[in-house]
Amino acid sequence: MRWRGAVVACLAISLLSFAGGPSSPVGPAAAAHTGDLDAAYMNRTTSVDATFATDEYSDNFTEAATGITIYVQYSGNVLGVGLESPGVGWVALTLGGVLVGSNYSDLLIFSYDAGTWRALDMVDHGWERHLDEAIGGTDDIIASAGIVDGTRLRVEFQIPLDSADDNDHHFRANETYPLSVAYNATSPDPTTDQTAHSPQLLLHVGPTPMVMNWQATAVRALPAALIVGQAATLAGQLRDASGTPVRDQSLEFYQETTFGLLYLGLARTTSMGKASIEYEPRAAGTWTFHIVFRGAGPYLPSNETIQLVVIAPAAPPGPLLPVDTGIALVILVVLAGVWGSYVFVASQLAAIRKSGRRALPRLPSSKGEGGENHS
Amino acid sequence: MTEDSAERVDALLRPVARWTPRFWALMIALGSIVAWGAFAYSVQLREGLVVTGMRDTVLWGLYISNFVFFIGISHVGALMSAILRLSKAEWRRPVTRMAEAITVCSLFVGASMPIIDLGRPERLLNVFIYGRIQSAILWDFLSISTYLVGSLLFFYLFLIPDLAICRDRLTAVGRFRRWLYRTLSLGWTGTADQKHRLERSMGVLTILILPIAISVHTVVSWIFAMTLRAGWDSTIFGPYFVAGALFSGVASVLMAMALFTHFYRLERWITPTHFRNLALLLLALDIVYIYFTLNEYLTVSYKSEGAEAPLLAALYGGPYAGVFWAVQIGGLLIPAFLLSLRRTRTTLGIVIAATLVNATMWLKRYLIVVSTLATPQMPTGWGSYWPTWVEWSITAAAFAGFVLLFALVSRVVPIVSIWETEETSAVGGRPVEEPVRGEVPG
Amino acid sequence: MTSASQRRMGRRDFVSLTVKGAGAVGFAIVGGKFLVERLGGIPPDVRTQTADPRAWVMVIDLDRCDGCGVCTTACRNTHDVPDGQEWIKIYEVNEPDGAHYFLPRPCMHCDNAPCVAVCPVNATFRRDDGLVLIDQNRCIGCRYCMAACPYDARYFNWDGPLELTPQEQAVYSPEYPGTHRRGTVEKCVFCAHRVDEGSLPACVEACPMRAIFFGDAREDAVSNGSEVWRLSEVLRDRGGFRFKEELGTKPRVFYLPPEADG
Repeated sequence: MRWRGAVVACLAISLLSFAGGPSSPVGPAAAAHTGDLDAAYMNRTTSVDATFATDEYSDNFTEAATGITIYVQYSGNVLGVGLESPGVGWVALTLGGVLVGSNYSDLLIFSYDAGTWRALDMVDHGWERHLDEAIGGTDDIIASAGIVDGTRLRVEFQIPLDSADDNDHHFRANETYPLSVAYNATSPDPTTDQTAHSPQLLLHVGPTPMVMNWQATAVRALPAALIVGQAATLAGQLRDASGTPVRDQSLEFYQETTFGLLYLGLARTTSMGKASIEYEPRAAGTWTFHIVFRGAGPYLPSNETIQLVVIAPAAPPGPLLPVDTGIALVILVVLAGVWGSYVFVASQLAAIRKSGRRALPRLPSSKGEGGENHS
Repeated sequence: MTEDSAERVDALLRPVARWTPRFWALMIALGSIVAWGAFAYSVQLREGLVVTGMRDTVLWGLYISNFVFFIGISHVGALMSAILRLSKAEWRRPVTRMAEAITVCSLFVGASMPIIDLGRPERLLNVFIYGRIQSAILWDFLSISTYLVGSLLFFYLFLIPDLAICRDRLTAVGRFRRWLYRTLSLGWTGTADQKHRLERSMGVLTILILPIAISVHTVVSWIFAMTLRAGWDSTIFGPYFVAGALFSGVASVLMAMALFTHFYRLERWITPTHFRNLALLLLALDIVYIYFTLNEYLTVSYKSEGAEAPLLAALYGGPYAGVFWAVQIGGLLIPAFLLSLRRTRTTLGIVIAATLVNATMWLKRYLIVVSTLATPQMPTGWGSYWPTWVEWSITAAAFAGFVLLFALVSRVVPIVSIWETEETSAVGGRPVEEPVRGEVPG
Repeated sequence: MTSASQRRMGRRDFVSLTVKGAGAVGFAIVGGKFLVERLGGIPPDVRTQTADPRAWVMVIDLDRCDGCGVCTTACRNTHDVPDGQEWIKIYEVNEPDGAHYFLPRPCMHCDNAPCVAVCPVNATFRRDDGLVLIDQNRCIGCRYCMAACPYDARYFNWDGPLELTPQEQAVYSPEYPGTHRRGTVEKCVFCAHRVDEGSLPACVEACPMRAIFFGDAREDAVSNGSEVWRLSEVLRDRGGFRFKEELGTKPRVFYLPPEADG
């Protein structure tokens, strides 16, 4: 409660600037600059092991009044913060509110107390301070860890950007929020006064890249199986990094073809983040589609690739006898008949020859039997 | 046999027994033309079909025209022998063998024409190995080969008794021919069993040969009719071609009759009655052919559909008008007049009509093949076709070869069927017009 | 003398014998053919099968074609096309109503190809993917296919070398007619050799006006190398048509009519 001295004078101001909702950001003047700390979106959350690895945080800032170095980043719905205090006592971070000690600021205190690690989520209420859980909220510290490294205390912790708790500070991308830090050089008891505290700092939360989740829906109940010639819907859903649907953005649909990408159409996302186009599959097979978001405003471009299987409808049974075979049959039968009769004739000729050989022995050469009657 | 009939038989055998120097001269002349044609073909084989006048537009020319013409003539055997036999027209007897001989010779010549037209004749076996039953060329192949074997058998069957006569009476001919007669006559002595068998075989073939012959020229016509070209895409091509074939076939027989009667002195057998009967047959076929021609051209001209219009214009008044009207007038109308008017239906008039018919029917085949191919199918100009010396030489060789074969046949076997004619006149000396039961002689 | 009754008997005998003979021979042939086929004995014509069956189509935008003939040259260079042959040929069309445009005509690769129907030796055949090819090893040069084609798309080698060298023969295939033999027929093959490898035909790539499109109708997409159009859409919106549609050949080349003001 040693902050009281600084608080009283500013209480009126803080009350005046307290603008409906525990998470209201600082007014227009503060929004103009990005602040002292930039919590940018990173693909991985921090590993809460009280060690600040390279590239673990997006930004850090050493505050002059206290000498505390603050590290920040966020990923998904998790804000990761690191604090390096010049002392070994408690170290605290206040979120929200104009000044520390003002109403409803989210107060996080960390200390090593006689070997026990203590991480407290408290709410600062005027001159009182309560544990978040004691006044109906939840302890929103996801994880924390600390280490005393010689004469310095290093703390890492994670809190949700947007928890379900009204007593907590809520963050949105692309917004700037006040915070301040304080520490005690020697005492881990959070009730003791701070050795030093910082003025108000500004934390800027960076833009969230859009992650799209897609789903392709078919008219039929069968998932991912479309039938040739039957109209179907290709749908994509646009969500931001925290999973929140993004509305009123354009999604482009492309089909992958042999000689390039074919533009299928454009659709705007609904309040549920869904955009869809009509699609009629023309042929059976596995087809690849791309749903593309070009990026707009704070949202980064992204795309998704899906593969759909299209099956052919059941083909009607073919004719029992294909035409070609029918023609061939007719031709063959007719020819067989004709050549069969030729064979018959040949057999008759052979028989004639046989009977002739019996009747007519081989004639001697020249003398003609002219008068003989061969009739 | 009586003395009279023995003399008649000798008269009929005389051309076979003795080959005159004139005949030898004819053989040499025709043989030279054929040899020249063979030389022209060798040039074509060496250089490729570029030596012809055909190109990518008019891709068929004289060779295919000759093919259709000769296959057309070949129908006369079926007509005269089969139809007239079945209908028991006795007057046919002296001329049936001529008709059958024309059939056989023209089939050989005609069937060789498409082979000469091939770009790759050495690959002809592919038609056997890879033949597609759906192709009209395959049908052609099958039907022509069937008809060829059938006509050969047909010709041969009716020849056997005469071969026996040659074997028995022609003792002064060379060894080869004596061997030929002896072997081919199959020891024919006229026993009851032999007669029975021969009659059965004759009966089989007489009935069969007619549908085979009709099928032959029908499938030849389908080579054209199965395409989408203006002038060829017609449904009546089958009967049209068959009618035309019978028409030109009868004309060929008339020409042959005239020649043989004159050169072999066959007036006793081939009388003006025969000429008259065949002339009436020719007239009837002429009228049928005119009917088909009217059907073909009138229906198309009335509508003058897009694709057909330029072809009709070319035929009626364009580059092909000369040939077209020569065919219609010289080949259809003038012969019709010559044959229908009693005054002009003399032997000479009949022969003139027959010659006109044959010549113009060849022109008609040329017209069918070339005018359609020259008609533009795409937005381009007309194709043109001028046959080269190679094509003319081979065409001349085809005709020469046909005449050569035919003349040779007439000198190896009697061109008038002895057993069919002499038997008749030997029975009571009745004139040949009266219907008499013709039988296989014993 | 043979009696009439004997003759009649002869005819009866003939009828019965011929019928029996025909039946026997016919049954043997037909039955044998059926048995062999049913037992799967006759292998299918492997030339017609492709590894990945497509449905190749070509779309030619007549509004863009200016008749420059680069497509013909590119095709000529790719296949060493002999003189006098133009496998893709440009026609200049002057309609009676005053329309004037250029019409490039490749082979239409018809689904109901009259050339395939009439070939006596199956030298010209249709692949699964719609391409109509010619096997120059088998062609006998009868030119029936040329008489049957309504589009004048086929060309005959009236002269030239009779045979290939052994090296040429080793690399010859119907998909790449780069060598030409006298006495055989040839035509555009939609650059089957390039298409099988995933490239566009030579004329498509070469066209400076980007007027020729090529693609797989099953994908409903055609490309000219830089643009990809939806086939069904462009045919509907531009009124695409096929040449000589009324003949029933079912060509695979579509034309987009020139715009009214061009």
